[in-house]
Amino acid sequence: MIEFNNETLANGVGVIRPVGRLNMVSAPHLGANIDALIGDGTVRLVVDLAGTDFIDSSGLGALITGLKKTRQAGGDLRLANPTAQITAVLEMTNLNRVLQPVASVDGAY
Amino acid sequence: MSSEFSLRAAAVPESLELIHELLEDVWAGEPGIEPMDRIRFETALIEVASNIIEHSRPAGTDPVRFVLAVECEPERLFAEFTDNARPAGIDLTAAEMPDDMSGSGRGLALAKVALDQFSYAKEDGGNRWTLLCRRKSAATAAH
Repeated sequence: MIEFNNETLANGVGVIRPVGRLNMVSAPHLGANIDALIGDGTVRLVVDLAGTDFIDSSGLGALITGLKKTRQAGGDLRLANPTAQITAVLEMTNLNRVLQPVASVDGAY
Repeated sequence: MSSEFSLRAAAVPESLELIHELLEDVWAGEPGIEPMDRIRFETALIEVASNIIEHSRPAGTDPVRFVLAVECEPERLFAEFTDNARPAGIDLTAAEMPDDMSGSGRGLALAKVALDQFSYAKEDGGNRWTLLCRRKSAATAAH
């Protein structure tokens, strides 16, 4: 099971907080959350992973697809607060080259 | 000291949760396993299970099911998936990490990087995957 606790900050940055595990079941929900924010014109996104216990390749795929879509719309997608498993998986896939975590949600932009 | 765990489940997405739960039992029973070894093993198991769930086709009229057996030993973590699906003929040497901006295609490549040994075999009645992770603490003790 996964939940998304999202908010839009005063500076217009959209924060997506997946709480639970990102896998083949929940990754499409992450993609839908990203698409909805872009559709509303929120193209600078932060995915706050503090509550994300686990990510698999489909979760990574949703993040990369979101990164591409936000950039195409003139924005960006950045990660904050990755847990140890997420940091390890980003390194094992070399995706830390394109999804480099930022220090905090507030400092993401 | 070694311990063994197993589960039999339908090849459906909901079964991923059962694998996480089984591994929680393993970690609870074997508290000395390094966090990075747990991460590598769990990540690889979920990728292989997801591959079975997403790509398997029934060999006959029976729905696809898999059996997961996990062995925890002082020097290694070992897992074996067997299923009753149509033999898939996977070539793990072809599982390479795609371009950074690719939105898919990382699953088996990620499992390969996470593990020390990884094999797939087509069998008469289905498919067999074996996954081995050498424990970091054991490697350190050996040097």
